[in-house]
Amino acid sequence: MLFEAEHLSKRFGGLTAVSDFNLSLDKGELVGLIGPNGAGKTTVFNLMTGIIPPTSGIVRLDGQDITKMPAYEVSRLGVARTFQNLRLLKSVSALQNVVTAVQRDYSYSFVSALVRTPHFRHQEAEAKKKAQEYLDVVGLGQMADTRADSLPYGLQRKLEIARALALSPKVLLLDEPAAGMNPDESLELMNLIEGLRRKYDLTILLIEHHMELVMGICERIIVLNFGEVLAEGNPEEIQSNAEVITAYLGPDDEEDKEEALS
Amino acid sequence: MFSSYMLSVITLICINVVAVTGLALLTGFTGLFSFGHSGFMSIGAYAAAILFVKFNVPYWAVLLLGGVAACMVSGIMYPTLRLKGDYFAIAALGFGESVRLIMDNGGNLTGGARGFGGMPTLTKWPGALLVAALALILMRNIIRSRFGRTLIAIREDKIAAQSMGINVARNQYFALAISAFYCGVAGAMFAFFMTYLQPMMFDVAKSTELSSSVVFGGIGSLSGSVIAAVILTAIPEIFRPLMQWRMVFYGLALVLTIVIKPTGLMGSKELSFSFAKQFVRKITSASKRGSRGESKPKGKK
Amino acid sequence: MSTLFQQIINGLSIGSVYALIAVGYSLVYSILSFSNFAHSSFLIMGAYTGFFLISTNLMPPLLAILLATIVSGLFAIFIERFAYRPIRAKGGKSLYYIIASLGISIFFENFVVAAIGANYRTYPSLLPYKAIKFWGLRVSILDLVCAGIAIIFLILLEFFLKRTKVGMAIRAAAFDLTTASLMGVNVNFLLSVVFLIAGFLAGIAGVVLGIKYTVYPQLGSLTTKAFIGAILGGLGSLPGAIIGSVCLGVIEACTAAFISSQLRDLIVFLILIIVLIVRPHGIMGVYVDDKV
Repeated sequence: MLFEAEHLSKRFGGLTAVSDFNLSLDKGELVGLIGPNGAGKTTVFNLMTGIIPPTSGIVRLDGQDITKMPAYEVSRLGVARTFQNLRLLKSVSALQNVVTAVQRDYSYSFVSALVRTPHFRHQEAEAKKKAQEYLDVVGLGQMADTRADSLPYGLQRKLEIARALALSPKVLLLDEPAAGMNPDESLELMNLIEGLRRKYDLTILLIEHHMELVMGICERIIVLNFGEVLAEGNPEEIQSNAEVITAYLGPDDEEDKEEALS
Repeated sequence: MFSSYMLSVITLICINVVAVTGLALLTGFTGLFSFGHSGFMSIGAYAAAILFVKFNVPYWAVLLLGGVAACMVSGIMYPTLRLKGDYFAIAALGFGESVRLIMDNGGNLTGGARGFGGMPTLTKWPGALLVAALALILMRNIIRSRFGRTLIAIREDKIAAQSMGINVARNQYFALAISAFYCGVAGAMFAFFMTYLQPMMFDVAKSTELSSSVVFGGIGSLSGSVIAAVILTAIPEIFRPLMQWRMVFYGLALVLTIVIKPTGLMGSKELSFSFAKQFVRKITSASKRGSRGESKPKGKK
Repeated sequence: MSTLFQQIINGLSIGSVYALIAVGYSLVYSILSFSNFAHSSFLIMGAYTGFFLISTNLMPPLLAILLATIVSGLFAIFIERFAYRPIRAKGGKSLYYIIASLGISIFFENFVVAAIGANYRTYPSLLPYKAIKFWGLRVSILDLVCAGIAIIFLILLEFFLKRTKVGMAIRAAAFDLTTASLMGVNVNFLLSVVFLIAGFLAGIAGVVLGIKYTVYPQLGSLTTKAFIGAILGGLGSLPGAIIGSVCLGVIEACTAAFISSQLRDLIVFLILIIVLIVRPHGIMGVYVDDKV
């Protein structure tokens, strides 16, 4: 078990955002996390990456308890994530965005930076090269010097993925990577994610609303509603689960339910 | 060629450039706005002056030690780094004023409000230019390295920075400490330029001058900060006869800049040959084509 | 013990003036989320206008004071319209507001020095210099009147905010300006009202300070103390501004009397730093962290 959550809960004052969430992610799996808006999916991500502390419960990476660790430590241990609302370094180029992530592996000293030693120059060049590779892999190779906020939306989303990859993560958490994309772009993204998973031997947890994407690549799906796990299973099981359909479509529409079930 | 007055203006410009360069790292590149950095100048100035006058420590050593002293004291501000932008600026103001008041009440050690004197004029234009140039080069090297990139990430998006493995608090403190060091050195230089010190030389107005230089010049542009420091130091000296009105124009200029072009003189671009070429090209093509649309400039790092 | 009470009374007196300033400042903060350093300019405007109007002897002093207050209110509206509104239109980054406000305060203070002169001016004596004595304590008529004016204006403000439509709109906008505008509130008008009030309060505080002390261009620096009072009480909270300012006034008076008048200001700033480290939202404020 690579990445797990045990009885994870989060309360904000009187509001329970997440309640008794359990997850066990094995190495190499691609699991989807779905649910209506406000179900608590992003909160789960935040809890599992150290952005906000859980009210109760445990998070483990590779057997190690990371529940109370701050986000930067969790990141260093091998968990990378993308954000629902994109958090790029806007005024900086695409390449620089990725270099800032990649540089974690290049720890030349402050003094060598001040004086520009050969060691410094060598490591900087290496970092740049590595970053360029990540950009190439997601298809942003030509846009290396473009300001991040000048990129078209779809490419910005890819940049965020490239940046996450540059952290050489063991686990990759993708928060709605296909948000705002049309069906063609989603399909392309689907293939990209699959390809990246194979190339970098990644374990992926994916939040998405695009059902074709989710059903297309996820081996296992967890459904969240009002902070609680509603169902868990493979795509076929989830698609035919009446409670899941009710959660998405509302309680009263018999016709819609039958249509969805067929 | 240059009168001795002009040379002393150049020296003063160099001193301010050193201070502004340090502050640029904190405000321009890390995104923390401070109203109290004259406090660090004050610490550097008094430390250097006292060490020289009372303990006969040589000039170049006290310049460094002034920086070190300011850097060490900056540790007090560590807990305030986690505050939201506005609050941190006010805490810094509190710090700067506290330093001023402590120096005021320093009795025999600092000379109190009456002042501390006895320093010879050791800060002259060749040395000052050298220090300023060195300060700039080293700062540029910091910015164009993983250290600078980390700070820029913090400025752009703290949460994203954390998710990239960046310890935000520690790096913010790193920027603060370095900015304090630079201001301390500038303060030390200042002590041997003025030859006497009074706590009120390092008040909120001075802090504001430093911070507004950074904003004037453009957040994220080192050359912009330097240009702004040069302009803001030189112009009042040039227009000395209009002494009373210089601060009036200064305030007005500040407001107008922020309202009209908040990104400052240089925005986030650095002065370089390619920038100058782009600039000239933009002007000449704009005049040729009149108001026929605007070409979107490709963003450079 | 009587000295302690005496100092408390002195503190309440200056504290009530701080409260007038702090409330206007906190009001602007609660709506636009920035620290309006130009607030000191509103104060100076009121102090000087009042001084000149009264000196001309053209009208009864009360009318002159009222006019001075209105002038500072209008000045505040002017500043909002020409300095802050363009910034708001461009996204309203807190940093830009702060710097603009700084520029305004530098401009205005030095303008007064250059155009009018830095010498101290005294308001003609409008009130007897007597003092009321009771229980071994002295309260000067001057202090009583100043405190009284402060209290009256604050009560009027409270009434305005709680009982009028515009007042309610302001309170709604203090929660979220964008939402308020989406609900049909005319934000431009609202901001003008807010700044009018802030200018009013600062203006009357300026007059009061002018009467109590003297009029000089750096009078605005007292607003720094008021800011600290507002922070102590909780930035953005109006009751907090009042409580914090009054507390600060009392602390100042006691420190000056019982410890040292030299150290008074230093202790105030140290208190500021400690409050910001330990409890940035002050006594009554709410400190909101960024949403992830």
